[in-house]
Amino acid sequence: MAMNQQQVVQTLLAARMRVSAAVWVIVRDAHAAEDIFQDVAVKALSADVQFDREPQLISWAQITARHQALNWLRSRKGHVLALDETVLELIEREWAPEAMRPEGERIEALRLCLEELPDQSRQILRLRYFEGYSCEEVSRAVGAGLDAVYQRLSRLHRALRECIQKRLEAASQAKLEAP
Amino acid sequence: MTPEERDHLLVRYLDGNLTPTETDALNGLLKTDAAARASLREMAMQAVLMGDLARERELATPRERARAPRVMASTWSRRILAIAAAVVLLAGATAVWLWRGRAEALTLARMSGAVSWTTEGGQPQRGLQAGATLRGGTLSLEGAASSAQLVFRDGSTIALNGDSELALPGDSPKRLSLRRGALSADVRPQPAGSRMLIRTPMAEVEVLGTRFYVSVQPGETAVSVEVGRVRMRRLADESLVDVAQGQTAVATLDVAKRMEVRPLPPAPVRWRQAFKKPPSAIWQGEWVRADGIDPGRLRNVPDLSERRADGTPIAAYTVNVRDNSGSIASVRPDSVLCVRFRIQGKHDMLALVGLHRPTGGFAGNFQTVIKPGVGSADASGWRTWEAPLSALEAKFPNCPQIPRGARVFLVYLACYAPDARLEVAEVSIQTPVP
Repeated sequence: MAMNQQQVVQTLLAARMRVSAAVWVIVRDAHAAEDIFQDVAVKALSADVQFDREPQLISWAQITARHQALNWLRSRKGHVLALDETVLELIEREWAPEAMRPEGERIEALRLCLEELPDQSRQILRLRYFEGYSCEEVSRAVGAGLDAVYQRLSRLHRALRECIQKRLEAASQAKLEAP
Repeated sequence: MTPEERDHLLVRYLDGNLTPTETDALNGLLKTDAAARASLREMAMQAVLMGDLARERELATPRERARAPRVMASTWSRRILAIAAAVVLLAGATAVWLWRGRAEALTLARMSGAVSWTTEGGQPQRGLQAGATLRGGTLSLEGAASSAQLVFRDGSTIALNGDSELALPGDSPKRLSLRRGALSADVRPQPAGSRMLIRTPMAEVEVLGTRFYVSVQPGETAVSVEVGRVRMRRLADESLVDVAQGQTAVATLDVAKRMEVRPLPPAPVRWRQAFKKPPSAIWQGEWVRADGIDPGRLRNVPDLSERRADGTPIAAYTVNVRDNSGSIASVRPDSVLCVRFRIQGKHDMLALVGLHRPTGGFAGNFQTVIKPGVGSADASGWRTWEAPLSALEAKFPNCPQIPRGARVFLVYLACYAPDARLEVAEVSIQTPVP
C-alpha cells in the first residue's frame, strides 16, 4: 500500500537534515541547499511518484537531491563540482547511521554547545552559515585575516563535534538510567 | 595529514577556495579516509543545524516579521507550502523550516558610547553589542563621542560618529536614510543597477564606489568626497551635481541658488582655538565672555555618554568641536594636542581625538584620561596639559595606529561629574616642523 501524503511529509521531515546536509556538501550554499530540499519535497508530494516504504522514499529523496544539486551547480557559471561522484556516493552511504538520531536532540545539543562559545566565535559561525557569507566576507566583517578565519572555523567545527557528541552520549545515558 | 590540516582543507573546500591540485588531494583523501568523510559530514550537519537555529530565532519575533515582510526564498517555498497546506496540519510548527528571509544584513563591527537599535516594528533592542547583525531598523547614536561602524557583505563600511540616526530598510540594505548626524563611508565599487543610495532630509546621494562624508544639519546636507565620485540630488528641485574627489557640495531648501561644488578646504597642520569671541556653531559648550580675571572660555554642557543596559542615560559634561569633513587639522603621531582648562575639585578629564584617514574613511578615536593636578595651576586655577597624539590610547583595536596625514574631525573633552564645571580656554594642535 502506498504511503499517504501525511506519511511522506513525516518521513521527509525526519530525513531533512541528512538530505539537506548532503546537498550542502555539493552546493556549499545553505540557501540553495534548502531550496533543493524543498524542491525534492514538492516532487515527493506530487502525484507523479509513489512510495511503499520509508527506506524507498529516503533513498529516492537522496538521489533526487544529489541530481538537483549537480544541476544547480551546472546552471551556475563559476560553480563546479569539486568532489568526485564516487566520493559523494561514499559520503551518502555512510550518512544514514549517524543521522538516525532525532534531529531535535542534535539541535538541542548544538544550541547548548554554541552557548559555551565566545561571542566572536558565534558571530563567525552565524555570518558563515546563516548569513551565507564567504570566508573572505567573514574576514572583512570581523577584521581578521582569511587564513585566521579558516583556522577558527576548523577549530570550531572540531570543538562543536566533540561537545555535541558528549551531550548526546550524556542524554543517551540519562535515558538508560531513567526509571 | 593531521586532523587539523584535514579540517582546514575541508573548510577551504566548503568555501570554494581550493586549487586544482588541492582538490585532487582532497578527493584522494575522502576516497580512502573514513575519518575525513565523517568530518565533512559533521561540518555539513552543523551548518544545516546552525541555519535552523538562526532561523528559529528570527522567526521567534512575530511582530518584527509582521511589520517587515520577508522575501520568500523562492517560488518553491510557496509551491511546497501550497501543496503541503493540505497535509500540513500534521507538520504544524515543524514546518517553519520552509520559511526563511534573504534580505542582506549588515554587521555592527564596532560601537562605542550610547548606540541603540530599533527594529522596523518599533521594538528597541537591548544589549546591542559589536558583532550584531542588523537588518531592517534604525541605528541611533546619542552623544558627541558615540561611534559605530557597519560592514556590508562586500566589505564596504559606514562609520557614524556623534549624534546620528541611520535607517536601514529590511528589504534593501543599500538604500540608507541618514536622518541626522554624520557618516563617513568607504564603499567598494558597486555593480550597475545595485548602487548604494543615501537619502537625507535634503538630498539623495548616489554612490558609485568611493570614500566620502555626509553630514546632516537642520536645513542642509553636505557631502565631501575624498576618493571617487558621488552624485547628489537636491530633493527640493531634483537638481543634480556630481561631486568628485577633493570636492564638497551642500544641498539646502533654497532652490533659488544653484548647488555649488567647491574644493575641499585643506586641513591645516597647525590649529589653535581660543574663545575671545563666541565660537562657530560646531562647538559644543556654553561660551563665557572674558572678564578682568579669566579669559573667554567654553563651559561644559551635559551630553549623553552612554546608556546602561536598562536604557538609563549616563551623562558626560563636555566641551567639544566637530568638523565632519575632517578639516580641523592634519596630524601625525607626533602632533601635539594642548588644552588650557580649569576643573573644580579633583576630577578626571577625558581627552579624545577622532580621526579620518588621509584618503578618507574612519581612522579611529584616540583618548587619554587627564588626572587631577596635572601641570601647575595659575592663580585662577587654569592648567595647561599637552601630549603627543601617539601617547593617546586607541579606542578601537581595529584602528590601532594614527596614520600620518590623518585628519581630525573631533576634539572632545569631558568630565563625568556634574560639579567638575570643566571650562576650556584654548585648544591647539601643533605638528612639529621637520
